[in-house]
Amino acid sequence: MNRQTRRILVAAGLPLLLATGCSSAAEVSGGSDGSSDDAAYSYTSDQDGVEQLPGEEMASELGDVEASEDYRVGVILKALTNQYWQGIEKGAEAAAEHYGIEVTVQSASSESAQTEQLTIAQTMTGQNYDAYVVAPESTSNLTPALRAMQSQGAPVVNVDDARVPATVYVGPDHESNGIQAAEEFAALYPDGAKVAQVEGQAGSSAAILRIKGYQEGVEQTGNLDLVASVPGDWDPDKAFSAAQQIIQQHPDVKGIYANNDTMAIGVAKAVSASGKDIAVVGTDGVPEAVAGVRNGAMTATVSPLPYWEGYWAVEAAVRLLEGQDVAPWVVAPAQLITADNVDEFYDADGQVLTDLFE
Amino acid sequence: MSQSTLTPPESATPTSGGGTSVDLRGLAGRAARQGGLIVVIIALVAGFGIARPFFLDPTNLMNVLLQAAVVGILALGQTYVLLTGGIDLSIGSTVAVTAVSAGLFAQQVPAPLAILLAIGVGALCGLANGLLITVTGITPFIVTLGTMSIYAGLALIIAGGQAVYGIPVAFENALAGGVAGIPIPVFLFVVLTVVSALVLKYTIFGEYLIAIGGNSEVARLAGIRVGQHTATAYVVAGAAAGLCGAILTARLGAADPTLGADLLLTAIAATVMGGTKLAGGQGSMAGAAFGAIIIATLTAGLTSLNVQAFYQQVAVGAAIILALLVDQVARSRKA
Repeated sequence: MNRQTRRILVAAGLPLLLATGCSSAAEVSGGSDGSSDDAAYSYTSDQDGVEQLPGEEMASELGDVEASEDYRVGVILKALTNQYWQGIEKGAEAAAEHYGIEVTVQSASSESAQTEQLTIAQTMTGQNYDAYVVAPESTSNLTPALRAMQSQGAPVVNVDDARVPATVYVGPDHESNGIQAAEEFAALYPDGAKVAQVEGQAGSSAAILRIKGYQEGVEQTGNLDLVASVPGDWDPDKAFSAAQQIIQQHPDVKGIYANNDTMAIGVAKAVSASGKDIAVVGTDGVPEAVAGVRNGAMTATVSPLPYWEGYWAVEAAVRLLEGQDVAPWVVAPAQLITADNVDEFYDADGQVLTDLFE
Repeated sequence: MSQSTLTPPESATPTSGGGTSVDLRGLAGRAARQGGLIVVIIALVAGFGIARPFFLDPTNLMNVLLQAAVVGILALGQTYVLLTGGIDLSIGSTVAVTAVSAGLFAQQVPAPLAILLAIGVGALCGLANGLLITVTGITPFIVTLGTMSIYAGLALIIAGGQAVYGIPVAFENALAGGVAGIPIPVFLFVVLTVVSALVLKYTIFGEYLIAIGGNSEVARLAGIRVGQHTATAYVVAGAAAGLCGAILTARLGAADPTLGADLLLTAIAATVMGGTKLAGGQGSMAGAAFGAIIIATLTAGLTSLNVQAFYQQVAVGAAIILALLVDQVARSRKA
């Protein structure tokens, strides 16, 4: 059903894409002679209102591309302790294999190791990669490294979470994650219901935007009532106790949205312990949450399909190096995954299908 | 205070026996240890340089020093505290509070004043720690564990949960710029290391800290104002964290209220690697500085070899234990 929806959207958007795609198509031929060194890249992907391009349409809009050189791409991620980031890493490596280029993936040891990640990024810029893919821990912790990348004249692709000045940003609209969750509750409870939220780490940009999106979504639906919004710090244990508290204080709560799946799993445990019928929606689409959606512990998760974010990030880097003009925001989907459509996106192990958009 | 010149600290220091010859031996041992740390740094740099020639690039080496500077300055502050037998777990959060403060001050007042105010905020955080510890008698571990959480929360509250942007260029240049190719933070790091080493070796304050850490009861009986000097050590650690907060805000061009979480343990690691005892009474400022440089070199070098972060953590941990093991062996041989 969702696939069909997308096809319709693609068809509807085609004339628009053709219009915006003309200039870039012209540059494809111009850049294929390997004159990418002369290309001047802009680093303005974090500005408001930049041109968008759905990730799954990048190939159809920009056409096939081949790496004319053995490019080296340096990939700096947040932390590979979360399956979400492992998904991005896998996608980046798959794209590198597809284009026959070399990627080096490095990450910090945790999602709060801001200065450690800067040290790693600075060292990587010292090795003069042809292009960089970065997922900073915060909007500011990699600033000196990003400046160094810019002065090297290398294209910078910013992936997922914190948005920084880069050539292209590949990532979801975090706000729409929250909106999707609210809309799912509205669809489940057309007669209105009390809903709650377990928030991600205070200060994290993903958390800020998802909280905002969810609040706005709840308001827009009109008949939902947000009775509690409590911090869970991306932590499953904290989310578990937060959910217990919510259920105790508001016995008639009907739905809880957790800002990510790690927390949603904790919330689902608290819900099943309470024996009540409460819908749990998460965000990310990590394997455990996908399993939860399959066995009914969770109602849904909103996933930007991290594997594809990583894939598109490296693909965008290759296209930029080949002189193509890639839209400053390659939008990762805010795909609602429910028991009805889970098999369209995930295999039995909860891994995103790698042939989804090929 | 004036009656306790040099005698009380010496008698209070439990350096097995007391007396000049032992102290000299201790000094020689410490000098040998610093030499050992320098050899380790040279070996690491040479090793990484052979594997990855770009590593020896002056830009890269300066970069490593720049990374070491913040951790190093924090480690110097922590050394003052560890000398007294205490510990300050709140320095990472103090960095967050002061980074945000520096960012907000910089928008209102001239850069030098904003830097001083940030250091002042750090010193206040340290003073709160010091007073809580010395007045209530609650152990430093517990007090600073509490303030670690309080300061982390304050940083988020002050910043309204989001990074502070719009840092004036003048402020960035005041701390992120360089003089004769040497980044200002590196320059400050070197100066503060030398000053701290001199304070520890040649001032009464340094001797008192060692005496308090050796045996605070004996120090008290010898007439040392234990509470006052202990609290001062926390103020120094807080001020050092304040400077680091200002440096990070200037370098990053923004102040993130969640900054600094990974700095605490790295700073303590650098301190103990440099030969400072967690039990107090013994420590080295130069050692803390070298420890910070070793950790930064390891992180940068292993990154250049494409070693993943998980393995890097193992390597840094192993380096800490190895450094202390070598120290132990060297000590037992001398004994």
